[in-house]
Amino acid sequence: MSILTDLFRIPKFVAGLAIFLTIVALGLVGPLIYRVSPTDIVGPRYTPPSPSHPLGIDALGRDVLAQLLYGIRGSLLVGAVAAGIALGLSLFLGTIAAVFGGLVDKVIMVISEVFIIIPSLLLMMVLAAYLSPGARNIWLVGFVIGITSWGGWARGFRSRTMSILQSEFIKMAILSGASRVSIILRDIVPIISPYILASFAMLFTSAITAEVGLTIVGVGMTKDITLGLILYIAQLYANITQGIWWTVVPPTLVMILIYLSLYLVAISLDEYFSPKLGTA
Amino acid sequence: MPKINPFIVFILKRLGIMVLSFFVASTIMFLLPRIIPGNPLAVKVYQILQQSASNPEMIKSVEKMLMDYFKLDRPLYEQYFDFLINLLHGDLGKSITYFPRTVNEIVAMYLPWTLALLVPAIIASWIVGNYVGVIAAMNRGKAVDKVLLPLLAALQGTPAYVFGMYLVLLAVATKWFPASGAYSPTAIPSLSWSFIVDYLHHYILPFLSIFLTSLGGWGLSMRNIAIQELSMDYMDYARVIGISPRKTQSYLFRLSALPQIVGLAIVLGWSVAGSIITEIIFAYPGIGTALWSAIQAQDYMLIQGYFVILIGTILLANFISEIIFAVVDPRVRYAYAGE
Amino acid sequence: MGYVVETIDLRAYYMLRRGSVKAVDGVNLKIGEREIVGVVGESGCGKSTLSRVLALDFIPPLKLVGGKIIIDGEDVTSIPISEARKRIAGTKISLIPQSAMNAIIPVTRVKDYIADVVKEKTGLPREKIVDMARKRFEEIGLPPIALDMYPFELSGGMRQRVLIALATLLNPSLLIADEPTSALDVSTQKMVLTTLYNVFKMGLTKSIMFITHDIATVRQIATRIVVMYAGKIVEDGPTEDLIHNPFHPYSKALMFSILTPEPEVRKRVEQTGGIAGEPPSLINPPPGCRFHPRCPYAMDVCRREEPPMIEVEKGRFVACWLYAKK
Ligand SMILES: Nc1ncnc2c1ncn2[C@@H]1O[C@H](COP(=O)(O)OP(=O)(O)OP(=O)(O)O)[C@@H](O)[C@H]1O
Ligand code: SF4
Ligand SMILES: [Mg+2]
Repeated sequence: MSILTDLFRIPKFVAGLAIFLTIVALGLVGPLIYRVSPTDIVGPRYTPPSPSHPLGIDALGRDVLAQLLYGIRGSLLVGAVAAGIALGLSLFLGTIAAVFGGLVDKVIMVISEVFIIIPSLLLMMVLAAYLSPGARNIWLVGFVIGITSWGGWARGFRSRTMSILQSEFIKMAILSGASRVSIILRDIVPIISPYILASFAMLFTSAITAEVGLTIVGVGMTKDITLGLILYIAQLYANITQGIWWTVVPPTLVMILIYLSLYLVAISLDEYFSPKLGTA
Repeated sequence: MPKINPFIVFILKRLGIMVLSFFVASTIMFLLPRIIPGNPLAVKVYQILQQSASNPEMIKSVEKMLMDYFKLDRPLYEQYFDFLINLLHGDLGKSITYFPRTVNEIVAMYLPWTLALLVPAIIASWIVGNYVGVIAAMNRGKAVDKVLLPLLAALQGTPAYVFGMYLVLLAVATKWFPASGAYSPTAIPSLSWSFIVDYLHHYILPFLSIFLTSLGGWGLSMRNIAIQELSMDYMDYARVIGISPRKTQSYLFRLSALPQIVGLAIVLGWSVAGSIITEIIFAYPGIGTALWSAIQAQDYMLIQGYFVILIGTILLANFISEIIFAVVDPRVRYAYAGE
Repeated sequence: MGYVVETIDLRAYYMLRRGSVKAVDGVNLKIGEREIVGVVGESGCGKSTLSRVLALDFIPPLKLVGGKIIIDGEDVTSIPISEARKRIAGTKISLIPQSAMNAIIPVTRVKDYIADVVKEKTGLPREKIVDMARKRFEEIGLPPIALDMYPFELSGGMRQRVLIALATLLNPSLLIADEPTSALDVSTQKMVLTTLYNVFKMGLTKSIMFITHDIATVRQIATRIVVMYAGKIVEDGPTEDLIHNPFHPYSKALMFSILTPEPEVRKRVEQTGGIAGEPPSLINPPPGCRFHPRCPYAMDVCRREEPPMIEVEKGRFVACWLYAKK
């Protein structure tokens, strides 16, 4: 695995990955170590951070650190579901469009264009607004985000695939009678795998941001704890204008860190695998 | 042999995509509430009627309006046809919470506030961002660029509303600026001097949060475009023939700003939708906050109306920007007028 | 008679981290008034670098390391380069760089670009400059309508000719054209060569330096040929004499390639750059004569010491131990 050892020599990549894995660990292991229920009322509302409640208590008397740890877990799950769906759709449609060409290509491109033009946040709002609040759990919100945000990446996969199709060895594979699906799976996907990884990273972070946006607007999460729900409650109870910073700063900080870490990973992947961009 | 001008073909194609997108968006909007199991729309309409039981007279008229507008008792295709006809006439129905005012009236009431906030903030960030981007590109790899680049990336990556939250917290802590609203609760909107000062005082923070976050995007894209331009033969020749760096920079600005004009049109179209959350955070009385209260009050007429208008604006902005691009950039114009 | 350009032991290297590329290394070149000097040599020998250096266009990592450049009798290397550049770029020395196909800013019309360039240098009003350009276009046989076009509306040949007109608008002492014809088809090449010759004949530039790897082209207009090899000038003499009777072993191989009628031989020779073997590294060039690893006549002294440039016949200079008395 010389590619991995090479990647681990890029400081940007290592830093990004380390931050991201730390956040993932917080979400996965955190609740097991910090064993305070995020839904129990543990004390008077708006108690500032103290040794017994390191991030204080929120508007409903709940422990903010416990909320945060579960919120990270929930947001990561939304991100994974949404990014998985969007990646699957865009990879499938993008490569199919490139390999099959003709009418298939045209139809897929028009659909993706429509999905690019219609802002996914609005589309998500429409979708979510009409779902009954009780139904809007992590899976559904992840699904809604996923099926509205694949358009641009499908185009990216299409153009990368197109340029690979020009190369000699693919032409050989086509001549030798390999089926188009097997060409996609055996030849194209391995070559564009760094780009797939990078797009997954970017889809992941934008899904997390999208969930926060949806939930703040009031069409997102209602029960499952996510970073968005923490901020929604904070906004609903006017914490920000009261200066209750401890319910606002931690979740937003985590959001920014997720974005920055995955952005670093994505650009170092991109720079590493497309040297044209990398040379200053 | 007279051939159809490719430029016209291009415009027609874009127009087609735009109409198709609008059609798809409005169809989704129409179908969703009706096909989701349990028909939430019908349930909601019924609930709303139940809840506002204070004034029997008004309930009657709201009920009549909703029945007239949605025609829930008719077959789906008829409802759909009606829905499209209403849309084409610009009839978005009447609000439930503000009955009997029409959705159009309510949008007209909030839109100016939103535009007053967004347009200056985005144009200012466009200008400054382009400037910063060109500077970063011309100093690529040097100290200036090394500071600017991560700064712009961080600005771009932070959603405007997160900035908004931090600015509000700061405002609360320092008491330098009012943290919410567009004017003091006691002030009455007018063109008086004291109101304008009060408004501007409230304006600064939401303005900053939108300005700063869009600054990152403009700066980064301008830097990328300008770097590409810098590697072109003509930039090399400009130096070779001894054109002054100042003139070169102005060429560079012109070359790179062209694609950015397209971006400006798109972003202006998007911004109304994009700043919903920022408005909510600042309790700024614009479309975003109005949409939020409509969602909270489950005023489906208003929600639907806002969506139609927001999507329409975005599609139109997209279309206009593509046309601008083709008209403004002589290279593109030539490519379409070619042969 | 004075020289328009004179270089003395000129050295300019690309300073890279892994070493310096000695692309111009000890060049002594004199270009007099009313000369068309063709500079030939295989790819990578430093022709374009020499042109950049003469135009004082030092883009990092290219750096002036030593020597002098004297332009119209003035030592421009003794004053700060940016200062000197301001004074000579486009006015005394006008360079049309290699791959200048898209040299004009694509968002301006040709006349606006010309006006921008000339206004900065002369301060003349725009209309006056455009009039000047129109007259000049007519004089050298360019359709004045080209002035009102955008550069991408012009054909490749027209672009080159417009650049020639622009480069000579202020009557420079030396026009340097780096491979102005290599991207063009044969008939267009002729037109560009004609335009070049016209600006020379009409005295719009005192002299021309014409850089090419194609000796057949340069032969049509050059009065004198300079052969470069690995950052150095190895031979210098009147065009026809040098082509028919090259002295330097490298020139011999180079000329052989154009004088050979059989296309196959020619093709093979051209593919190998005319000569068997690899061009030398310019980071660690061979000691002594830089050509010795590929030279069929190489002697002991060639590997140790650099051959001096000597005048073998009147006006014919060569740097090779075969001609130097040691
Ligand atoms: N920007 C640069 N950085 C580093 N090395 C360079 C640079 N530009 C050119 N070189 C090197 O300098 C040497 C001379 O290059 P130059 O472009 O002057 O050659 P040339 O004779 O014009 O070749 P050609 O016929 O291909 O145009 C080459 O070895 C080249 O690799
Ligand atoms: S000096 Fe020696 S090696 Fe160089 S060209 Fe002459 S004979 Fe050949
Ligand atoms: Mg060259």
